[in-house]
Amino acid sequence: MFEARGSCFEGREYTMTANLNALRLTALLLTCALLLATACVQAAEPISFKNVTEQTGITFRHTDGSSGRRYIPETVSAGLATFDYDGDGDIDIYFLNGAPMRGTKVATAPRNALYRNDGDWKFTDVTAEAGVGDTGFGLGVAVGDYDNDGDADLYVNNFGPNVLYRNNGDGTFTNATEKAGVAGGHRVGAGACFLDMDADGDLDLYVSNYVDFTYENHWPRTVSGFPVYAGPICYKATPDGLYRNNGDGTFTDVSESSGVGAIKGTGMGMVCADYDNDGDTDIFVGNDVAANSIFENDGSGKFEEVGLISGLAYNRSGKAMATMGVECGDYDNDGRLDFHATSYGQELATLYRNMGDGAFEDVTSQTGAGKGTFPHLTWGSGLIDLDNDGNRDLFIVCGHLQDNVELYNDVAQYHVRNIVLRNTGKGKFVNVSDKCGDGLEVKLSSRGAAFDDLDGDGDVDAVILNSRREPTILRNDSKTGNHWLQIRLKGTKTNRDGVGAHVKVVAGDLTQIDEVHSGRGYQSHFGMRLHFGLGKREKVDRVEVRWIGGGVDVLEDVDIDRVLTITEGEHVEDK
Amino acid sequence: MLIGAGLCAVVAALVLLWSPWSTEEPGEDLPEQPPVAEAEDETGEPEIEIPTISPRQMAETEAAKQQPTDAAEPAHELWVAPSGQPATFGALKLETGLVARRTLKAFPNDPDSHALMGNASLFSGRGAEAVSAWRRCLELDPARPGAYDGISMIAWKEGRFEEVVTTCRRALKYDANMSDVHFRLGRALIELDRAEEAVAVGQEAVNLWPGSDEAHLLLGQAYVQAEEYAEAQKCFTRAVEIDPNRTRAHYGLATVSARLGQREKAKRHKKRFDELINAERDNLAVWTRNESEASELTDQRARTAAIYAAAAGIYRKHGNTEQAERLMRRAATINPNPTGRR
Repeated sequence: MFEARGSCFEGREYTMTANLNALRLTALLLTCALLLATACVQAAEPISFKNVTEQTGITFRHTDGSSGRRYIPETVSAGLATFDYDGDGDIDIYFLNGAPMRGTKVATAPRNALYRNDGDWKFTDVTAEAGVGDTGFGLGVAVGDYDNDGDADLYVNNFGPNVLYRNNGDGTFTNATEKAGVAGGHRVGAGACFLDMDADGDLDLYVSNYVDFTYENHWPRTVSGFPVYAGPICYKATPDGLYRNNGDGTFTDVSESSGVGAIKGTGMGMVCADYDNDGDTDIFVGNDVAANSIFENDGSGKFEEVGLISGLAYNRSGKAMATMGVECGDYDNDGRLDFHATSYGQELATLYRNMGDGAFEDVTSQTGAGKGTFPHLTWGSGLIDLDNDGNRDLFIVCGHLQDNVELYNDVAQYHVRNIVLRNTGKGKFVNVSDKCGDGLEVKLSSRGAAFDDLDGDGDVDAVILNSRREPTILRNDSKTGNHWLQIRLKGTKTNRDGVGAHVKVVAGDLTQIDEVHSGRGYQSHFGMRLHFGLGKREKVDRVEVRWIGGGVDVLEDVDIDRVLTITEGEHVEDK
Repeated sequence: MLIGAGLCAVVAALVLLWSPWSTEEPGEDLPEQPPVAEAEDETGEPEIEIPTISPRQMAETEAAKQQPTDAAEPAHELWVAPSGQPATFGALKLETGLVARRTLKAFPNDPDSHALMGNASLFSGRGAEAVSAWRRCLELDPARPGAYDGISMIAWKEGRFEEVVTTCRRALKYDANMSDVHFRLGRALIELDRAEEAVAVGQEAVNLWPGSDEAHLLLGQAYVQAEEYAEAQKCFTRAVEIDPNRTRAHYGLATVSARLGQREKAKRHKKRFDELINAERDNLAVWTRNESEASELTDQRARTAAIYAAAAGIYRKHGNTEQAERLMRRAATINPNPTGRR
């Protein structure tokens, strides 16, 4: 270009001078471009995770109880929970474990494990003293204060009888399953959620179930001559369970009368959220190779299934996905909760945008939210602001369920890397997995994933349960300089954890919303302390909490970079 | 036996139709061709480079090369195919690989041999090797739509949609009538949110195959991506006219009717979609439960026999009718009933 301009002038000297100037200008521009590119890369790729598993002292190792006969429950174990079990302000970890399937012999029965967070990335196994070492075949877990006594109780959804652990408030738990009446029979469980479905101030319980597998109806299958695990299509779908909290430590099975029992599905991960923003909590159950179920609450705990009408049952082209996990969050900051569903290989993990009035559209392609997911099975996911820029990113964990898949399909792998998609804030996601540090280099077959601020430094860390292996603990080392605010809710008239409460945070030009969920992602539980990234904004103008039942608390001019506890009724706005 | 051989020939013909071999004249000596990336583009379109295979594919291909093969076999010696019926899936796959490797060894400069190796590798679930073979085939002869088709299939499986678009476009440049390639190209463009291009591809599909519900469905889905719901509705309606039980066309109609505020119409198609998809799921469940090792073996027999028959075609082309005959007989032994279940 410069050559061409120089050659327009007559006379060699002038041309040479022009060329020299052009060269200098070119060099200057190149330097500027280089500096700008460096700055852009630094600004655009700030998400970084460090694999700190070894230093945590966590020795848990998952087992799926496999016997070699390839029973279907082995493939879908298990979820995990991150929550503050001892009320000391930091987040502890509860891992679910499988159990020996028929034909498997073990010296010591595998059990679930609770690790207390001692700070500085050290964790202590307190399973035995806490009394939560269930040896059932763990699949899903939810945490909620069902007895409103101010501490977090645990519900474990098993293949076999389920377990409810009541927190005694002194670091120990009591198995309250029998008294509560929530064992649920001998089924293949999946996700579970606590929710206040009837706004009566206590937490009810939704228990998802997978398929009608028994040892007697096991389907041995082969692909290309190799033995493989059968899919859910080989079994009958089963209805889920819904229990109403009687307020006295017991529950009543209202599966039939509530309307949810009429629908049979192949339930997997689930989340309870106010999908239509009408003030009550609805239920989204992801189904494996079947339409997802959306149970719309009429406010009294009666539900109607509206998956097809809402646009959440299938993907864009009407395909029933093999949904594994379900997560929700407002990815585009338009004030409405969107949903993310993970799925099988040769399918994209799907992002559904909430268009309002209970209608959703699959925006996976438009947003790039499926990038990197197509070849893999995807399980747990988090719609979480990983770099505190005010936009929710996506962390998706992956891994095949056929441990021999490489033998008959060389485009699939059993152990694979997980995926991080950064939200640009302009309606697009960018796959930054290769630039996120050694935390994203781990190749295992992951299942559940939980996202919480484990070290209290204001960014969200990750805990991943890997099938048949040790977990992965990732410390968020993103150096962004961005601000944040975490909000913990304390219900007084409504349920103690504020489950279902809707929170709006306004900081200058940025308005974000979130809800308190108990049970989410792939059969897991996390994020009860709401996290809001604020970018460079140095104060929060307004926080508004809409509690289940309609009460509203408002706080103004809120300090940032801290955990804010909001107690129901203490900040009621003068009308 | 002769009937079996005849039927095998039909299967082989089908394979050849899909594969790059069909573009060759029998008996011709194959000239060396420049690599495709350097080939002149007769259409004047920007040159499309052959996609490179991923490091993992490369590593696996290298690893496969290290494995013991029939390296001792003299390249042009008349070799005798195994006799008897292979009893296992593994034995069939082994034989499939063997016949492809031996043919390739006999005719290393014949692109058909590489295409055969590509297909055999694909049948054996070795996508990386298949891609490698098809790429070599394209180096010898860039005008091989079947090889591009194969590469695009593998790219699709790995979710590399940009590569799917590139390879499908190249395949269609040499053979515009490959409907599957056309549809795959359209779907990849939709996945990439390149709605305008997807609409153009869908429109072309409709022009080429006006009686195909798949073509109308693709165009409808492209219009949905472009948020042109009225146009999408017309396409889905046409797809349903062609096949009243086309499940996804009913879903498309339900979705776009709702977007257009036509609630009753949306409701009607949602109901029909619901009925159809439930029936589909029931059928799939029955099929899956009936799927057995025996039925898989039948499928693999058909594939192995097709590879034998295609290899026979290559030998015949090079004037070795004796070996061609042997291979055809072997094809008939392996699969006396080449129609197969699929």
